[in-house]
Amino acid sequence: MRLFLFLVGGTGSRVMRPLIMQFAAGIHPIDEGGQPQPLEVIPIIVDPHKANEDLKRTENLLRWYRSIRKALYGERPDVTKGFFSVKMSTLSDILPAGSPLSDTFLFNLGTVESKKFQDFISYNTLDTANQALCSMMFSNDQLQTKMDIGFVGSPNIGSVALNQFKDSEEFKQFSNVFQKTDRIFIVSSIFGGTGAAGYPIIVKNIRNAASNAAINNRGDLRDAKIGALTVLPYFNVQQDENSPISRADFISKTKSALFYYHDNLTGLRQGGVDLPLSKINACYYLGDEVPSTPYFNDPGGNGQRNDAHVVEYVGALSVIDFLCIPDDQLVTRGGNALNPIYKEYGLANDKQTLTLNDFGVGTRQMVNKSMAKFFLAYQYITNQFGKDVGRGYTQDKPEITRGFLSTSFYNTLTADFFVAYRTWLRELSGNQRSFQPFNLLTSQMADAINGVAPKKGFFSGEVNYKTLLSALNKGSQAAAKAGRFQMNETAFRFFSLLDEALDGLVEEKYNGLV
Amino acid sequence: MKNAFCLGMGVFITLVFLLFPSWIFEAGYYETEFSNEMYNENLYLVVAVITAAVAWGGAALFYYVVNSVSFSRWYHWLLTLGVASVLTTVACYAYPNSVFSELGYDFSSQLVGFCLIDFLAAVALFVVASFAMRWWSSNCRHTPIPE
Repeated sequence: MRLFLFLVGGTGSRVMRPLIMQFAAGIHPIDEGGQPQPLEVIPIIVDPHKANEDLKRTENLLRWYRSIRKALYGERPDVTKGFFSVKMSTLSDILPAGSPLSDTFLFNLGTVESKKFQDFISYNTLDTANQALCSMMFSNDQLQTKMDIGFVGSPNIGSVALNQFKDSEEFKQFSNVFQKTDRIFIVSSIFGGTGAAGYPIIVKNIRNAASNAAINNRGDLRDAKIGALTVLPYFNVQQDENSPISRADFISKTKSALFYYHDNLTGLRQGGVDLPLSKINACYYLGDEVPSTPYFNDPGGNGQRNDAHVVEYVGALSVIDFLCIPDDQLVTRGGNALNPIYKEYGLANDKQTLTLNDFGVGTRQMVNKSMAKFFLAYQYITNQFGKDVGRGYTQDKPEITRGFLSTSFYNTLTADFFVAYRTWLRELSGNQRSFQPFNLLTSQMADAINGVAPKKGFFSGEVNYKTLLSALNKGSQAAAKAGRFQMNETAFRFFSLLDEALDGLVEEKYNGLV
Repeated sequence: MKNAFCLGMGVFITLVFLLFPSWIFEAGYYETEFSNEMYNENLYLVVAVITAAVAWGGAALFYYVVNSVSFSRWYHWLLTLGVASVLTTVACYAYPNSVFSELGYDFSSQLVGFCLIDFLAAVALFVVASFAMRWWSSNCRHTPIPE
């Protein structure tokens, strides 16, 4: 299965972070038979604010993820198990050789990013009557907004500027490679500028593809299976009189946008009558009334770097949930979704400090085991792996030598990805609500997972790195006997063994996770 | 295939040791009166059986009973080898000495020399047993040196 994932605005980038972590942990969509499905994701970040720190962090994570995944599995798209097994590609990756697009996860918004809004609409060349009309629709500040910092909470600017989406090279290339079996998911917030404006524009251009002569696969695009996450207000910003962004406006902006969506997007209204149709096959709404720790009020000039939040973590789950919905429940005819699905999310325990056990059973079954495995793998690689090189399973063929510790794969994993992973966990823990799935203060496996005490064996005692090493040794012995790994698959061998060993260990010792 | 060959070689060497103990021990230590009595009382065979049993038993204990990641370094193996060889040497001193005492002989000084050779044989057999059986151990198959 292939998913085109449009991440619109700052929230789009922020939701992608936990999704990357979930994919790194080996979480896959499950089919109706309970089997994991292979998945290739093509994230497309739509945000004119390229200096946004959250966007940069997400883009870096995506690049690191792709490089790690490539070192482990090459270009294979059919992997269904293991850390980093979901394939992540840029649009240019999936185009035939010689594509005109650059190798990036960012959608190039062309002139939008470099112009003031008034220059973009050629305000100075308008006649007096049209200038007056524009002045009614846009404030002077909005006309003066330089759009390289986004639309600073003004969807009315975004809805004009982003309209050039349909004429972009990216959209044309996207239409060229889009297939009937592919799915589309759009992540945006509703209480800002870029997300609130970008989401309906993307949907409109996809659903109206039939009338766009410049693109291919128009019928498939018009009837594509589209899911969308709309993030309602969940974070708080510091009050700043000089900033155009204020938490007080979040609710009113949300209500306005919801009314617009209701009539044009997620419900359709014609002649004053609500129709049981939608442009979106599956709509996910998510927010939290508990305000986060107030973020620095930065409209964009200084980078906008917000701490990770549990709402983003839950939001990322909507992408996986959407991929688990069978095709026959996502039927679109003539650009309208039949029997659209609407979903919200509730915690099992309404607490200020959450652990993995405070989510509902569905979530716990879908992600807890994989997330725990990945944290234990992180702990092992960070605290113990170096000491184990040269003993046990590392000495089976293909051998893991000390040279492995200085490969670019290992460096990207430990010096880049794991550092970002820990930062993400630390931010989640420090925010409100606080989400503390793992104990970041310990290097021991026995107390790594908050709220879940591992079972102690009568003879073996509590779980530790020796337990894991023993499981790795056993797994490696069986793999060597079966001749599973080629000589050039050192990293793949290491990660496969680690995944399988932790599978058994978590199943046996941490059964309180689900 | 390689593993089965190593096991076969180990068994073969041990069988040679058990079938021709007097040749092997006398090649290492020979003193006419002492060696004649060792031969006449069939003590070479007893000593060889003890030596082989402790070597294979000690190796099996290390590779399959303990088989622990906490006890899988080369120095753990060396410690096991040392303990097994010393045990063998003590046993191979005590048993012939008790037999000779019952017969009224005093070969204690010769037994010390003989036990030195037996110690070397115990070390050699422990190494042979280790390389014959270690391949199937989950945690110690790379001890004392990698496969």
